[in-house]
Amino acid sequence: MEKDIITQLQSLRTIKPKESWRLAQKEILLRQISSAAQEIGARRYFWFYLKEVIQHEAALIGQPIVGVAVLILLMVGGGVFSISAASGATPGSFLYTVKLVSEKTRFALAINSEDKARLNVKFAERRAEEIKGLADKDAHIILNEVADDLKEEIFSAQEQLKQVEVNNPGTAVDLAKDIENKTTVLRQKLQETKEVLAKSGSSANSKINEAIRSVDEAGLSALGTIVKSAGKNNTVNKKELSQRVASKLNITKRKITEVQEDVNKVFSAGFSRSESGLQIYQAPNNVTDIETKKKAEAKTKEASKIITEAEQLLDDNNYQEAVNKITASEQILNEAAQAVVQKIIEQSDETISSTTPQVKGAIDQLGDGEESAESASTTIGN
Amino acid sequence: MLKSGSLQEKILVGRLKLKDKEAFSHLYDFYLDKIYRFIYFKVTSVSEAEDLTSQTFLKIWQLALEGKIKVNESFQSLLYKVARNLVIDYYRSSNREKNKISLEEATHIAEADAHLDQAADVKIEMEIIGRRLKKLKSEYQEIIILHFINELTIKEIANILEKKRGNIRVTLHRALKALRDAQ
Repeated sequence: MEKDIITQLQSLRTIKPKESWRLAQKEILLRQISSAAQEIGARRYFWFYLKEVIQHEAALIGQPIVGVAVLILLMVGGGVFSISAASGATPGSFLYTVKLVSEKTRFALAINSEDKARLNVKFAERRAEEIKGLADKDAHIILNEVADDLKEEIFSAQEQLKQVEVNNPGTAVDLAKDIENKTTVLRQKLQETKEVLAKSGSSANSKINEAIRSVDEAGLSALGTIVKSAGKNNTVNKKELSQRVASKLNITKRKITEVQEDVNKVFSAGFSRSESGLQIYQAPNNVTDIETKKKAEAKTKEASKIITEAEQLLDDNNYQEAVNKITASEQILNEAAQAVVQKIIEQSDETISSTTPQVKGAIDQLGDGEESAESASTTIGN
Repeated sequence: MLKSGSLQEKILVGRLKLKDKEAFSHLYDFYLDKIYRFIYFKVTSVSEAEDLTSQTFLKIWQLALEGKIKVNESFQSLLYKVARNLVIDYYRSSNREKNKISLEEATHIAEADAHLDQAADVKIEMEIIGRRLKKLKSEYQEIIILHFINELTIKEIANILEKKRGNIRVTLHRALKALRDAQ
């Protein structure tokens, strides 16, 4: 009798709300909450969750037996199961946090700096792929966070390479070559993403520029390691060395040209509105602008001069000095690019605060002040 | 498949705490049927059950905005507590008579793919048991719904009703007896 009643009760599990109501209601609810909802980046969530674990599970993890169990789980479960389950997860999705945690676990379990550096590069490549996907989806808030993650991975790879150079110089060259090759590919991928974003006038482009700068820096640093090692022993042939240095030199030369063009554009232009819409016009420059422009021009000239010296050194097969010169040129060029970005932000602020509503309307069409400034800076900095 | 109290659920609740709409959506999908059933047997009509179910999820979102959701506490338990309080408030505010639900409304067989005659038998059985369940006092009713229909453990029910496990076992035994005796 009791069994019958329980079976009958279990049959009540089929009671469900009507499908039409379920769908309609979900839509209504999500619309109601969307004003207060936030787009959560994986990085923010990772730290939040780590904080929660530390707050609430620290005492438990502190127990030796649980600690060992957690370690085994991380090694077996974290290393194999989680990664395979979450490897295809995209930023903002449910499994993406699991993917990041798995990566952190793998990194923590890596035996030496060489393995860690290789993992950093591998994860940076994943971030670049994710950024590409996000650019297509217009998910720019998350994109910015993923770009920051990429920068961190690249910076970490650079640091690990330095450690390898000190502790195990024998393997440093191979690692440096690997990093140099992969950063070249990474740069290319980010450049493509940047072009996609430029078409949509996205503010996320400045983040991509930062990421490209980090990748360039890491590539140059790896090249420095290769050249240094080649000077000590014959692990790299001259032809290969020459090609690698020449490739970096050409990239810097291209960047100098781009920054020069930006300086000319930004320090002589303003916004106005005519019948045909928002247009760039020649604005009278004030004393500060003229000085800043002069400084920026001087810096690009200096960067250009140094790169010419680097070319000469490369012709003389003095690779070490050539790389030093390229690094110096890049640093000076970054200062000039920074001045341009600063000017764009100022121009944007001024335009928004001082223009008539008619002109402000035009600015609104471009996006908010900072965004339009950022989007205008798409070609700056690399 | 999401499970109550699992790591997956905790991750979703963590995201909900950060006001993530997608996490809210996942949790809504997972708990909607259970909460609806829980409320369904306590109110007088389908529309009221629907209203209170929606209110339950809205209240959860409100709690998330106020930072009152804790990742290390049972989310399922919180949901049922919210639903329970809303039903109590609903009766308090309207002085409604409990459990006068029309029995025609008492069965929504979800996509019964059984033979029509079998489906009709099941429907009749469900109507009978549903009618008897609705005659029980609220305390018995909710404990039966939670345990036998929504498949919660004694421990989980004790957590929701804020009672000891022994107490829940005894009440469950009495509730079943009352259900058998109900005509």
